[in-house]
Amino acid sequence: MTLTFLYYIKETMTKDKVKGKRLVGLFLLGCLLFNFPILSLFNLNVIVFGIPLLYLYVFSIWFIFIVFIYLITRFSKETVPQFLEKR
Amino acid sequence: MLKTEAILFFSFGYMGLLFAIAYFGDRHAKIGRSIISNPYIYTLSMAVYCTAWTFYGSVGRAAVTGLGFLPIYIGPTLMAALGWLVLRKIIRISKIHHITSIADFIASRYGKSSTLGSVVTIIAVLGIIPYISLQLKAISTSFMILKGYPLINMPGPFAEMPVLKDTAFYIALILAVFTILFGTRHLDATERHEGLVAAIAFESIVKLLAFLAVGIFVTYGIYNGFGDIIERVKAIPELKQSLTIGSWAGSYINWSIYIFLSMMSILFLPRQFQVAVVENVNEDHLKKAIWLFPLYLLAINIFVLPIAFGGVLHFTNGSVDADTFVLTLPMSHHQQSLALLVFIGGMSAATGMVIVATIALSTMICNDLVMPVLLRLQFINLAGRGDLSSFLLFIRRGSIILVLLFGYAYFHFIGEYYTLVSIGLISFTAVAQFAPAILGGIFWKGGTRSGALSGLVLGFMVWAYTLVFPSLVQAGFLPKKFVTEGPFSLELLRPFQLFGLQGFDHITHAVFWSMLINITVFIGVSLFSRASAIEHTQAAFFVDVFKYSERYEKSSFWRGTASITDLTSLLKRFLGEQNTDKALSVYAASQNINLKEGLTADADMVSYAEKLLAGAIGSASARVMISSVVKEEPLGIDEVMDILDETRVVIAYSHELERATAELKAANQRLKELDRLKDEFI
Repeated sequence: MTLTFLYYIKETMTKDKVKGKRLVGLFLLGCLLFNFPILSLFNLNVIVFGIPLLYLYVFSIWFIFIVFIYLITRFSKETVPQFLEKR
Repeated sequence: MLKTEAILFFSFGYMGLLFAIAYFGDRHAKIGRSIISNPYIYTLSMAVYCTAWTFYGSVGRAAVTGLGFLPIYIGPTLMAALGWLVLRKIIRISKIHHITSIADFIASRYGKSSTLGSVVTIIAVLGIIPYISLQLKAISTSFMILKGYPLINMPGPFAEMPVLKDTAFYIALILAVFTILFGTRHLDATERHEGLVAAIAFESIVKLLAFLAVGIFVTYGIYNGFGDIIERVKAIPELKQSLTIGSWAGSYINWSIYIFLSMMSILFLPRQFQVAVVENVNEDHLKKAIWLFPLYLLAINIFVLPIAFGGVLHFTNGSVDADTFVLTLPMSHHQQSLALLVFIGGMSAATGMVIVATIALSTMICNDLVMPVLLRLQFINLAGRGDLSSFLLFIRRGSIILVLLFGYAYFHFIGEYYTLVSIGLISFTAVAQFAPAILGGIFWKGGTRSGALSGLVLGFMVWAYTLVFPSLVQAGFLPKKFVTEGPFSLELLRPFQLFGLQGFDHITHAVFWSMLINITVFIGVSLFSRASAIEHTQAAFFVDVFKYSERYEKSSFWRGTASITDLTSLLKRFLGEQNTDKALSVYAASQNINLKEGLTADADMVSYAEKLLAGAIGSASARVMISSVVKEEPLGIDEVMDILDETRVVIAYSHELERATAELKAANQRLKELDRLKDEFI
C-alpha cells in the first residue's frame, strides 16, 4: 500500500521532469535548426511554390516548433501550491 | 483629405476606449471577478513585446536585409520552450518574495543589496530610453505623414525643429499623462494593475488586426498574391539578394547574435518582466502562453516581407523611408480608412510599450533608487513621518515624466539618424547585461553580490562605449575622430573595432565584448569572493525555489520580535491605513490569532510584514525599514546551515523513493517472469 503510494508520487514527479526535459530537447533542436550550418543549407536563391526557399523553411520550422510545444504541454495538470493561487 | 482634427479625434477616441477597458478591468478586479485571469489575456499582454519596432520597423529592416528582421521573433519562440523552466521559476520566486521589478529581483537574490538594486535601475533606465524614443519617433512620423494625406511627404529634420513646435514633444507629454492615469492612481502592495493588463491585451489585438489588414491589402489588393510579388522581385538583381540572408560568415553570426539578444530581451526587458511575472495571475497560464505567444509572433510576421517588397517595388525612386511603408503603401493607393487603421494600430503598438515600460521603470526608480537614498539620509527622517503612500506616488509620477522627457531628448538629438530597428537593438543589448546575474542567480548558488555588481557595471560600460558614445558622435556631441581614429588617436580603442575586432556589425560587436566581459567577471569575481550569510540564504531560496515554496511562507528569517503597534504604524505609513488593516486581518484570520491581544509580533509576523512592505518599496528598503523596528539578530551561519540541511533531508527522501521504485520494478519483473514461465508451462 505504502509502496503503491510512493510509486504514484514518483510517477507524477517524473512526468513533470520528463516534460521539462522534452522542452529542453526541443529548445536545443530549435537552436540547431535556426542557426548555421543547417540554416545555410536553405540559404539559397531558390523559389519553391512561388515562395523563397529560406522564407518557407524558417516559417515552416517555426510553425512545427510551436506545434511541438503545444503537444508537449497539452496534458498534465501542474500542482501550484495553494497559497500562491489566491494572489 | 484627412484633417488634423479628424486624426486627433480618432486618436483620443481610441485612448478613451483604452481607459474604459482599464476602468472596467479594475472594477472587476475589485469585486474579485478578474477578467484577466485566463491564459489568453496573459498571452496578449505578453505581446506588448511587439512595438512600433515590429509594426513599422520590421518592414524597414526587411526592405534592406530581407529576412534580417526575423531573428528578433525566433529568439522569443525558442525561449518559449524554455519558458516552462526559466520563466516559471522566476514567477514562482517573485511571488514568494513579493518581487515587483527586475531591479528588485537582482537585489533580492544577492542579499537584498540596495547598491545592486540602484545599479540595475540606472542600467534599465538608460538602456530603455532609446527604446522609448523609438516609439515617439514612430508615432510622430506616422502622424505627420498621415496629416499630409493623400500626398506623401517625409517629415524632418527634427534636430533643427524648435521643441515647442515638435509633435513628438507633445506626444511625449500626452503619453506621460496617460501613463500616470493608468499606472499610478493608487498604490498597491503587489504592483498589479489588472485594468492596465486588460487594456494592453486589447492593444495587442488592434495592432495585429491592423497589420494583417495592410498585409492582405498589399499582397492581394495591390499585387496578385505572394508569388506575384516574388516574381517581380526576381526581375530586379539588387532585390534578389534579399531573398537570402547573405552567404558570408558574418551574416550567420549576426543572425545568431540577434536570436540570442531577443531571447534575453523577452525575459529581462522591464516591461516583459512586468507583464509576464508581476502581472501574472496564475502560474498555470504559462502553459498555454508558451505556445500561443510564439503563434502571435508568427502571425504578425507573415506579411512583413510582402509589404517590404511591395514598398520597394512601388516607391522606386527611394524618396520614401522604408520604415513608413506600412502607412505609405495604403496612402499611395488612396485607402483613407485603411491608412487611419494603420495609424491607430501603430499607435497601439507604441503606446502599449511606452505605458508598461515607464510604469515598470517608475516602480524601479522609486523603490530601488530614490527610497534607499532617502532612507539613508538621517536628517529627512523619512521613517518617522506620517502617511507616505502619497509621497511614493509623487515620486513615481515624477519619474514617469522624467523618463518620457529623456526619451524625447534622445529622439530629438539622436533618433533621426537611425532606423527604428537599430535604435531598438541598442536597448536590447543593454538589457542583455542582466542575463548573467539573473540566470546565474537562479541556477547557480555560487554567484555573489560582488560578482554580479562588477559584471553588470563593466558590461554596461562596454555597452555605453561601443554603442552610445558613437551615437553621440553622430549627433555632434563628440568629435568624429572618436569613431574613426579612436579616443586620443588610439587605434585599438575605436568603439566599433574594439581591440581591432572586425567583420561584425556594430550590435554584434557590442554584444560580443559586453557579454564576454560581463560573464567572465561575474563568474570570476564570484569564485574569488565570499558570500555573506544572507546571500547564502537568498541563493538557496532562489535556486531551490520549488523545494522551499511551501516552507518559506511559514518559516521566519527574523529571530527578533517587534511590537505590533510599531509594525502596524510602519506598514500604514507606506501602504496606507486601509490596505494595512486589510492585509493584517487576512493574516490574523489565516494564523488564527487576535492582533489586539498580542502585544508583540512573533518572527512569522515580522517576515510577513517585511514581504508586504517589499511589495511597496522594494526588498532592500523593506529590510532597512523593518530592522528599524525589530530587535533583530542577524541570521548566523548556523541558521543557514540548518536551511541547507533541509535540502539534504529532501534529497535523502527522494533517494528512498528511488529505492522503493527499484523494488517495485524488481517485483514487477519477477511477476512478468512468472507469467512467462506459466505460459511456457501450459
